[in-house]
Amino acid sequence: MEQFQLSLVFFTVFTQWGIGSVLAFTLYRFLYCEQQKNTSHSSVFPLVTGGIFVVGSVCSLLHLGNPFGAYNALSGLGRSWLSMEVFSFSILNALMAMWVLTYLFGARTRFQQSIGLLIGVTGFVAIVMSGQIYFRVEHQPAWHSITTHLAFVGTALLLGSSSLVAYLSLSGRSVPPLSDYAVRLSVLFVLLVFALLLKSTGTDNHWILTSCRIMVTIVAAMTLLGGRPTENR
Amino acid sequence: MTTQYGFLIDIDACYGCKTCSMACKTENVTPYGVSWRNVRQLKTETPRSMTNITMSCNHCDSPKCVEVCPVSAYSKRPDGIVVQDHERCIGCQMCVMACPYDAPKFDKEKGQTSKCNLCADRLDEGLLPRCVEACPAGVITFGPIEELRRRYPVNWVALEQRFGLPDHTITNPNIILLTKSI
Repeated sequence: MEQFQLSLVFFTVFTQWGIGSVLAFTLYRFLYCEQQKNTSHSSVFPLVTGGIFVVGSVCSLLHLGNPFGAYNALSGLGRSWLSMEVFSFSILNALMAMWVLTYLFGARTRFQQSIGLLIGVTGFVAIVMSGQIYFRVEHQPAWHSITTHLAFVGTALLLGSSSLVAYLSLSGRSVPPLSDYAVRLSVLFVLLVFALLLKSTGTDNHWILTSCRIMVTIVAAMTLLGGRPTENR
Repeated sequence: MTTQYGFLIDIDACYGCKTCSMACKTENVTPYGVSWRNVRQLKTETPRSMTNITMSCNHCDSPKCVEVCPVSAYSKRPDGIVVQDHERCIGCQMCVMACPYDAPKFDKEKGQTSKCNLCADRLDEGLLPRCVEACPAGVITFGPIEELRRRYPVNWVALEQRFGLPDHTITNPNIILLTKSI
């Protein structure tokens, strides 16, 4: 079967990365910037995050035999999880573009944060929808398991928190202890999901795709954290 | 629904000549690399055996292809035949991923998926599906599935264990696999 679609690995990982990063950045600003005088942030983080999300979204089209007919994918709304995923990611792309623009044009903090939160909530729903697509393939034990959803959420948490820490370090800002804890907890969470997956399904063929995702996630997170200046670690 | 059709496969009588596959390919003019009916050869150690199982689409009661297709290309006719509106297909291969019986086939050249339609046009003309007609060993029987099930009750649990088949309750396939080995 044509199931090892690497483009879908990059679609899920990159879009989850984008969603996690927006959420981490928004929460960071809520928790640590509201009390501070200096609340302005450059548009670098939103631009990079938006870019990652768009690249991920484009990857979702690469495995299609007829990418120009992709708009038809909305006709299965209410029945097909894939249609619902397409719908939610279309909304997310629009929200993401809006979020990036608020930073580029220096919109009010409250507006930026509201959109950031909206992306976080909508993104979480979209991630669950992505999970449902694979979960509903009952004859593949590696997918028909709660670990599919947990792995997707874990990717968003790990890459989101790692990106925030990397950004704060590289931009010379102090990294709050909570962000560091979030990264450590996310790593533990992803490894736990990996262990659960191994325990429940063993190493069958379909395990390869899932483990590939986890590896991409961990390597990306480690690369991000590798960019941190030594004194801040 | 009027009558749900299905196949009865006499596994023990199949010697793997693949005439059914070829007949299907000729009838439906499927492209290179796309074969709607396939004969799978299964070898088991306990008991030591080599079995040929011919299978195409099982026109399931709860077809996964219908459920997952984002462009609503699949539908179930009143006679239970699961058909595909080929023009709608965008080649996402969701049906390929979701079908436990590997029925939908992806044509890399055209970027679209297709599958067995139970020779619906032939049935409408009162003819048998081409694979049934072509099999030299009379392995494939076709008819209303309830009638076939009355004559040949299926022990799915034993079949699934014996041949490593997917859980039949996922889609409730309209197929009967007949063998004396269980």
